[in-house]
Formats: sequence, C-alpha cells, structure tokens
Amino acid sequence: MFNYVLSAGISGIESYLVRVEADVSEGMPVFELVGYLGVEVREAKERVRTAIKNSGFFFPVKHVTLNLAPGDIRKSKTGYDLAMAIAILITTGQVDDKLVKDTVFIGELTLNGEIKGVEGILPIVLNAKKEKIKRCIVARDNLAEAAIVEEIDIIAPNNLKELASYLNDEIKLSPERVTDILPSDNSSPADFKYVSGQKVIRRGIEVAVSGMHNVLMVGPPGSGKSMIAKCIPTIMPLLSKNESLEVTKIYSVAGKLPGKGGIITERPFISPHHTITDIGMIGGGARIKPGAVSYADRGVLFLDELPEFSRASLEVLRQPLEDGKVTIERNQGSYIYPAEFMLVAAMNPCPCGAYPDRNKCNCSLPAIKRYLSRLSRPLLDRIDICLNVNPLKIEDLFPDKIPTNESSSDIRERVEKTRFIQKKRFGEGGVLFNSKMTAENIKSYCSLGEKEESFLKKSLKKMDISARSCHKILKIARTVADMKEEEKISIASLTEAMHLNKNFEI
Amino acid sequence: MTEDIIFDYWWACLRNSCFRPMTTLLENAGSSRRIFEMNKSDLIKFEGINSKTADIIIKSRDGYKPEKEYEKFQKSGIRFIPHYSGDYPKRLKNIKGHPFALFVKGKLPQDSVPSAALIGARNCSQYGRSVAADFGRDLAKAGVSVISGMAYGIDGISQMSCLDAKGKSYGVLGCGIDICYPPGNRILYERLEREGGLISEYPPKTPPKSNLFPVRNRIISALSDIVVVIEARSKSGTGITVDMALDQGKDIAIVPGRITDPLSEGCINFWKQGAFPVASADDILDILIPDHIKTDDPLSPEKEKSPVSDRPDIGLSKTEAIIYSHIDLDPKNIEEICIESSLEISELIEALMGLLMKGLIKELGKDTYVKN
Repeated sequence: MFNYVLSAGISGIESYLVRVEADVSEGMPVFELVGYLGVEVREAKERVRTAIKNSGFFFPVKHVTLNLAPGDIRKSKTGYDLAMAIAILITTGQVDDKLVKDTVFIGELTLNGEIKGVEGILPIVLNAKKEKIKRCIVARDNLAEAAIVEEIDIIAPNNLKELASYLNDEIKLSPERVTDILPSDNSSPADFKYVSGQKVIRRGIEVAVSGMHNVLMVGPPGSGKSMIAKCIPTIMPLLSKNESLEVTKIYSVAGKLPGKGGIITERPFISPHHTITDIGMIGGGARIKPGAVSYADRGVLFLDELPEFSRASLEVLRQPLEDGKVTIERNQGSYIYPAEFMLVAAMNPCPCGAYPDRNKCNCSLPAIKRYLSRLSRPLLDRIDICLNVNPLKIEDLFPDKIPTNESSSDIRERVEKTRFIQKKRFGEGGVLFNSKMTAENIKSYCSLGEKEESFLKKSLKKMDISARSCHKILKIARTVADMKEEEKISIASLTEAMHLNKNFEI
Repeated sequence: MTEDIIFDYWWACLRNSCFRPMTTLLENAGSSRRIFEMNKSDLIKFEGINSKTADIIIKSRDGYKPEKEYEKFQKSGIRFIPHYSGDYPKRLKNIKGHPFALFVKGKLPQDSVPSAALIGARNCSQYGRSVAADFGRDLAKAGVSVISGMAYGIDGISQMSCLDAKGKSYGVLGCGIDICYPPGNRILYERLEREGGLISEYPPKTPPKSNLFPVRNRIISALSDIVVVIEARSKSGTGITVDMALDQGKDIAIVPGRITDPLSEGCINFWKQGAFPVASADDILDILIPDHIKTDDPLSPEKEKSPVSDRPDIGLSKTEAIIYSHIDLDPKNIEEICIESSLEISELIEALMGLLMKGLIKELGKDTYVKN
C-alpha cells in the first residue's frame, strides 16, 4: 500500500514542497524513515507513532517506510510530523484521501496528538499558493501568521483527531482569515518632531534617506545620535504590502515575529550590541538563521559605538552593503537571505567623546588617531555621508521655547517625492536608489555642466579628495539635486554633497 | 684632553644609572679617568658608593675599550660635548647641577643669540595652537631662537613654525638623542637636526622614561633667556619647567587665557606667583632685545602678513562675509553658526565651503570651524 501527502521545507527564506511518501507492506514490524533527515526529523518516528495511538487510531504492525522527497535536500525542523502521521493514516485506510492531494500539512505533533506551531509558516504558505495548492493545514499557533496570505484556505485544527474527522468529512472546519491586518508594533514613539534643534543634522539625514546613502554620525555622548537614528525609519516611505510580506518572511523563518504572528508593517530598526559576532551580524550558525543585516531588511541597521564592534563583525557587512543580500554557503547547499538596509553608524569623536572641545577633552592626538583607526577603511568607503551631532544647549531642551519641529510624516512626503524621481529615472529593473548607482549610471545621470565641472575639479584638488570620494560626492549631489527637482546638478548641490561627504578627521 | 674625553664619554654613558652617588664620586675622585682605573676596594672608600654601585662601575669596564668605543661613537654623527668644552653653552654652565656632558645633533644655541622657551600643554586648544604658531614665527623673524621639548601640542607647534620662518630652534629631549620621541613628531625631529639642533644629556639609545623628562626641563629653562608658557593645566610638566626657571632666576611670561578654561589654570597660577603676561611676540622682544623693531610698526621691514587673512573681506561673497564674522578662534559648530547667522542651511554650507577653499577657516573634526 503506497500513498503520499504534501509538506514543505525551508531554505533561506524560500520554501519548497516536500512529498511525504508512505508505504505499508507485509514483513517484520519496523518503522523506517528515509530522505536525508536531520536528527529532529528522525526523532519524529516516536512522536508520530505515539500520537497516532493516543488519538484513537492504530499504528500498523507491519513494515512501514516513510520517504521525504526530494531525497537530496537536507530536511530539518519538526514541521513534517503532521504530514507523516496523515500519510500513515491514509495508507492504512483510516483517513480518506480525497482532500489530501491539494493540501500542505505543516505542524509538529505532541505525544497526545496535539498540533504545535513551527517557524517559517509564512514563506511556506506563500509558496504553497504559488504552487496552486488549495489549502494548508497549520497549527493554531501559526494561524495568525498563515492567514495573512490571501487566496488559499488555512485550516487550523486543534489536534490530529479533529484533523482526521475533517478529512473524513465528519466535521466541517471553515477556513480562517485575518481580514484587517493588524500592525504588529505600531506604537513607535520615535518621531522627528521630538528632535529639538539640530537643523543641519535633520537636513543631512533627509538627504541620506532620500537616496538611501549610508550615514555615520559623530558626536559626544548624549548628543542624541541614537534618538535621531531611531527616527530614521519613520521618514522612510511606508512599506508596501509586498515589502511587508518579504520582511515578515525573514522574521517568520527565524521565529522572531513579535507576539503571535501578524504581519510587520513598520520598517525594521535593528540595533545590535557591539559585542555581536560575525555570525550574529550576517547569519549562519550550526542551524542556519538570518543575522542582524537580514532583520534590518528594508529598514535601518544602526551600529552604535562603531569602533567598539569587532573587526570581523564589520568586515562581513561588505557583501550585503554591496549586493543587498547575504549568501551563506554550506555543503548542504547555499542559503540566501535578503539584506537591503540603510546603514546608520554612530561613534564618539575620541575616547572621551568631547573632542574638539579642549575644555572637556584631554585625549592626546595619538590617542584620538588610534581610536579612529579602529574603523576599517573598506567599511568607511561604503559610508557616503558623515554628520557631526553637537550636544544640545540647555535652552533648547525646554520645549516651550523652541519652535515646533517638523514631524516625520511631513519629511516623509518629501522623501517619497525624491524616491519617485529616482524610480522614474532608473526605470524597471534598474537600481533603486542614487546611492546604488554604478559607474555607468553616474556617467549618464550625473553629467555636469562646464562651469560645474571646473568647480568640482578645482575643489577636488584644493581639498585633496580621492577618486572614490568623487564618485560618492556625485551620487549625493544627484540626490540633493533630486530633492530640489533639478534636472542638472548645480554648484550649490555639489557644495552640499561635498560637505556631507567630508569625513571626520583630526 | 683627547685622552680624557674618551673616559668622560664612558662616564657620561654610565653615570645616569646611579645619578646622585656617581656625581659625588666624580667630585671626590677628580676625573673619570681615575675612576676607570680604580679597583673595587678603592671605590667603596668614597662617600656614597656602596658595593652595588661599585659593581655597576666595575661591570661596565668589563671588556670596555674606551678608545675603540669612542671612535665607534664618533662615526654615529652625534657630537659629544663635555662640560669643559668650549662649545658647551654658557647659559647652561651657569646653573647648579648642569649636565656633565651633552649629546648633540645639529647645532647648539649660540651664547650671543637671545633665546626663548615656548612651552605648554600637549593637548592644547585651537587658541593655543594659533598663539604658539604666531609666537614661534614672530620670534624667529626677530632672530630669537626657540627652545622647547619637541612634544605634541604647544612645544612642537611653536618649534615647527619657528623653523618655517627660517629661524633657529633647538629641541631638548628626555631620551637618547637618536630616538624620536614622540614618534609622531618625526618630521619636526628631522628638521630640527638639519635646521636647528637636538640636545640631550642622556646617552644614545636611552629609551624615553617618564622620570627623565622633568630633569631635562631644567635644560630647556637654562638655555632660554625667558620662559613663555602658552596654555597649561593646573598640574603639568610645564609647571616643573617653570619651577626650574624660577630657581635659575629666569623671566617667566604667560599668555593669558579665559579664566573658565582648564587650559588657562596653569598660566593664571604662574601669573599670581609673579609671572608677567604677554600678548604678542613684541612683549617678549621688549625684554630680550630692548631696541627691537616692533612687528606691527608700519616701518617694520618684517611686516609681511598674508594679504588675505589681513583683509578677509576682499573677494568674499556677502554670505561668506557674514559667516566669517561669526567664526573665531574658539571652535564653533555648524549648528551654532546656523542659529547665530539665521541663514538657510544650503546657503550656510556653500559659504562655509567657500571660506574653507579660500583657506580662511579650518575644519576641526567635522562640522566644527575655527579661523585659520
């Protein structure tokens, strides 16, 4: 007797279908499990056998063979339990198989037959929909997350017994649906209207976000670097439905969805501690998980106290900053996680933090140089804009005295406009932002007039600017020009770009 | 004489290991040659020499061939000037506890040329930097040599600017003359060797140690006719130099700073103790060369300031002129300038970049500006 049901596995943040095949034949009573299985999948044997028994069915005293196809991809995680149990129940004729062919089963079984949730439900359901599967059976724990996906039935029975009755058409279980998508966390207190003063910084950040330029903020402790960073996601354009799903997928795979499921509607703001390892930053590990860069996908990766980060954990940022994704190579295959983020870094100007205020700072010049040299050149090369954050004056701290600050949503409107100009220019399939322009793009979109070019040449010579910085300046200048809706880059835009690009130096 | 110098060289290299007893020993024994020839029992008889010190002396003679060693040393290009030499600076010889001998690269300050010590904090402010540079330059133009310790901050800046103005400057080191300390001042070290002089009482290869520096400060003050302090914190190495200078009966001048700055505390304390304030190189020259020509005298041939910084309003746009008036020697952040000038940010940035390119202002760190 042979039969099969469908389940699904996960690689990176994408899912693939897995056929759980069962064969029950005469012979010695053994229970064989094959199909390149991880330890936790092999242990399913005992869970499945006991759960079947405890749900009031019988486990065949025959030669039972289960195969998880395709057999050349390593299977891990416990989500196959449910499919295995159903495969055996169908093969032994205890459950009707007419609904089974277009159904994906995902869930872990407990010994008494209850169904428990697993990680990565969202990509599985999305993939099932793509493969034209009609329904997914998931645990109740996973319901909120799975039901986000439209045009596929999500059924969440409490236990194996209920599921069997449903498949045998003895009871009706109606598909569940989450109609109003609740933002998982919409209580972000950050808003630029709470940032007092700092006019120059606000402008710099707006340029940075408009063109997705990476930013380094330098300033003494308590000057508001972290607060400003937290506000950055609030001026980015809102996540579209598709983007939300993509971000939620990453969190789903890692089992990191806040609360019980739900879709992520706010741009992520990830601020790892400076003791983070390279694996923590980029992802990987014995059981492969996405790293901080992927959690920050389509949002902001904020590295506070940049010089304190280990060299290894910063070096790994190069690939995601360049390609917008992370590829982890293993002998079981390669895993790809998206990592399209804006890098925002913050640091003190010197070990004590007060330089160049010599009334407070007594750090020697070599000590400051040593502190700054902890940053690797290749990483700094990928940061376009450097901003100096000055501590607030006491009088600025009292809100009744300051004029009302512009709120995040007002700034966001302008950012969206600038982003739209970029989208129109680069067209479908091109780069998305000015900061991602290739050398060829720069040539065609950042051409300068005669006067502007001679001005740039003169300035480069005078200020001793390298060729790489020159490219960066052109990219920033393009963004500044877009903000002013200039067709050609003006001298004023070039000047501002040069100012923003200048690095912290002593 | 030639005979003696080789033993004196041996003695100069040795005596710093046990400075006090050995100085007494030399006084009592008469000459280094006699010490070289004495055996242990003779040595112990002298005042202050215990068997440990005697052992050091005896060990240093082990296999030491004075003639050969001195020959080898002479090839290194360093000059050895014992205290009885005619080249030994008179100013130095006049002080109590003058060095037994000097190791010199380059030249020694001439006795007839007036000299001033410009000393101060290593971690100085922009104000201190600019004053040190001005004083160094103006003193050099008036023909005054600048003596200092080649340290970071005030010392190095004033010496560098003195050399830039084609003046003579001498660095007194607290380590072996062949060691560049601090290493970051290598350019200054090399220029001092070529264009001025490097002086140390320690034998070559002596590593820089914190206990050596206060002692060398007495040489700085002794070689100068006046000691000028530009910025010092309340507790500092500068204080030691000033104490030494007072003992030696030198004039002490200070450059006043704001009373609220920690970097002014030292200067103000010296002022209270009797130092006099100076506001320009002229004030110093009044003491050193009473009939000197004032640098701000319109008849002065030395008057040669850069035409731009003198009349900054030439060739400036309107906004640049406004911004320039808001910037001074005290570092100011772009945010403050923005509030004070109430200009649009893009205008402000354009003006700042323009001033930067014209070399009128300087950027410290990032977005913090001072007058150049």
